[in-house]
Amino acid sequence: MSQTVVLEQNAVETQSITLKFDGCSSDANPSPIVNPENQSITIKFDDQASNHHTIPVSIPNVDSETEAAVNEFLRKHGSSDEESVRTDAMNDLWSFIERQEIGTVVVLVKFASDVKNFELLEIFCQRVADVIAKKTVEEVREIFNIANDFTPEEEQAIRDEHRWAFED
Amino acid sequence: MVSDSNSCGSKLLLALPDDIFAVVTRSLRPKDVSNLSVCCRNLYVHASSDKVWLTQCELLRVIPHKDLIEWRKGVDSYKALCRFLVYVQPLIGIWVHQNPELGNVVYVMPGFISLVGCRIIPQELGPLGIEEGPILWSPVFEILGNVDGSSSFIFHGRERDNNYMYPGSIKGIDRNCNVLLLEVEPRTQRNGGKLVHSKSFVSTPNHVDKEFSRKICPSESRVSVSQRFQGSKPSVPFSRLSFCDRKKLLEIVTRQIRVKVPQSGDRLCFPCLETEDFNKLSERRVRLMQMYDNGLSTDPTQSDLGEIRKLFDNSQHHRDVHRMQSSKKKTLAGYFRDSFKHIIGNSSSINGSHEHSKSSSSSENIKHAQFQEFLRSGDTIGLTLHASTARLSSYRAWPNMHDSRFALYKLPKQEPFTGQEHAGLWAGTFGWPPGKPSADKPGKALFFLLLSYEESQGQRLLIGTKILEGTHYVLHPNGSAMFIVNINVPSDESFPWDCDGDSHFHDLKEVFSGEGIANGYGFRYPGSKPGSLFVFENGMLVFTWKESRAALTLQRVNLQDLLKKGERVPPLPPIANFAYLTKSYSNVYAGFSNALNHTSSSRGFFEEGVQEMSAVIATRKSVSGIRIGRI
Repeated sequence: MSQTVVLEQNAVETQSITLKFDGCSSDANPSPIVNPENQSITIKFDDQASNHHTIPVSIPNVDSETEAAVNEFLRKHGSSDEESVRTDAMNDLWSFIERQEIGTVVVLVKFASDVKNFELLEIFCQRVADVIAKKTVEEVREIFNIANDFTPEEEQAIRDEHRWAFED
Repeated sequence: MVSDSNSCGSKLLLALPDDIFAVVTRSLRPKDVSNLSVCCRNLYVHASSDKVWLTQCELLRVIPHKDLIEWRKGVDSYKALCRFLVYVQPLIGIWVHQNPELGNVVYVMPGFISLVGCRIIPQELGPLGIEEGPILWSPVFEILGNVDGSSSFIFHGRERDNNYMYPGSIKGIDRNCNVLLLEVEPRTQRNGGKLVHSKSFVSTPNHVDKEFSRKICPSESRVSVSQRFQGSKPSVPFSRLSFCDRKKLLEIVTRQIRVKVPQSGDRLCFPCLETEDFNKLSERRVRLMQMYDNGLSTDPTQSDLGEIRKLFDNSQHHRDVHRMQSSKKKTLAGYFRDSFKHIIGNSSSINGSHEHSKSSSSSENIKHAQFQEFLRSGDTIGLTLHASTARLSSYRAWPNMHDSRFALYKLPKQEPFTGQEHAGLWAGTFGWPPGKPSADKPGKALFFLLLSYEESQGQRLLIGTKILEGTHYVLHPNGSAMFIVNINVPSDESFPWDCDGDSHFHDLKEVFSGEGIANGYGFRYPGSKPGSLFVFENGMLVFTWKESRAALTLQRVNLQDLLKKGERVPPLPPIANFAYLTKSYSNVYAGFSNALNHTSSSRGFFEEGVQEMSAVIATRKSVSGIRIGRI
């Protein structure tokens, strides 16, 4: 879907053009189409990335509530340049994510990486890290549903290899 | 639904690309990343990636990113580099000792895939001023990072006009260490010299497994020689032995293990810190590691043992020594067990002051027994560095130190931040206006002060602690507060001198009043006189004594930068090069014979060592009356 920008020529004498954007800002290079009837120029934004700010995105492998929360963040975060609004949006998303299963969060990490949204990526990666931090190996395996495919000797060898990291 | 999401999630976690995985691990500590490695094979591969561990190295903030890239070329992986950096990081900082009173400052900083300990010697201001100096420094020790990230300790010293390196091990580095000890540890050889390594789980057909096996089973050639020996935990720790025994052990070990640094290989002596030529630094490192391996793998030869016998030699005990000599290759410890009986006997007569003369023979026996116990723990002995945490009291940011330990003490790090803008290391000279020395003016003594803040009786104080001074004879004890000012109450005093000639010093920012050091009741108990601290806009500080109008002008310094442009001078003989325990009020590091108590030659040091020990004990209790009128 594309955003359209309508340019109106409001005074023939001065030949001035007023730009009116009915969408949000984007870095994409527009391709203008001139409408000869009303002298307006339509600029179509074809770049998908620019549309995330207002167009709801669909996220595979998550439930509708999660998708809604992410979209709410994108809407709020993209709607204003004010620091406080953006921070509120981040805090809301953060509180929501903290209540979700970790599997969902990892799915969201993948999604954020695919669509190259770095704000989302930061939030979701931080959440995954928080879940891993300060846990034992057994706890991490349980949380992420990971099967241990090491022999006991192999596991001991790896623990020995990393002993230096555990010396407090 | 939930379990589906979880199993989907775990699969995705394992399938995340490297750089995304690195974003996750960016918020984790090495411990947590290591835990991930243990979870399963896939996660081991992911969590071992260079991207992940490069991030971990960056988070440590020990060296800048561009240096990490260069250092990586000399180690197996960023994980190995992280292992080295995590291990040695607590050593970085300023280490000091009370003696000599002019100052004993060893700055430990990153070298090249190493940490280097450089002593800044008492000196006058260099011809190019404080910034460019060049500052004079001498090498103390290096900790090399091996390819697998383990560490090797190299101690530096000079004997009879030759530079030597003394290879040793690292007993341990506490995360919150504040005392650095040079020790001797008993060692046992592991399994006849070869590192035993189980290979029962190697070689499976799967690609991941091969990769995995290769990673966790390093080939033997990569294992450093130092891993051939294992330090044993003696029932009597080194620190509990008597001063005499500790000193003798250190002397014997350094004599035995020393490796001469070739004169021609000047680059080998110590890293030329200014150079950016990483190839040369790499070459030097390889050569140094070879010398280190050679030094450690040499068994004591007959000539070495001869040297040891000479040290113990005493006209009364010749016969006993010959008897030992006749037996075939005895272990080093064997010689010690027999010979040290005599040393204990010797030390009681040499150490003629109160320490032994009053003690009964039973305490001698206890010391002797402890010594035997110590040596029994291994079949050879070696040099080791031990960074431990001790409960130290301090007075005005200066730790109270033991007189008889071969130790350096860490000064707490002072970082400037809001409310403590002036905290940190400063350097300067006396006199106004400050300036570079000229041909007709004598050199100005360079002072180093550590500025810190303290709350006392509802007042906030800024304290300038002297840690190094470049005079010929010291006026006040090492670690004295040169000035203390109250920063709660600004003063409206005006700067006593005109600044017309020089626009730099025009802008006075604020003034604080307080006290500056002055002569008091002898050397050990300085007094104080009123003075003021003037803070200028350009960052300069000037403390002036009200009555005498003396002025100490200070500017902030970065020791790393100073040392990189510095000039290396030869170190002292070993042991003294670590901790100089003989009480001294003059510049023992500079090689000129201003010394009251001793000469600077190495031979002189060893021969007089015994008498000096008595002097240590005597002067410790007395108050020196040295006084040179200045302030």
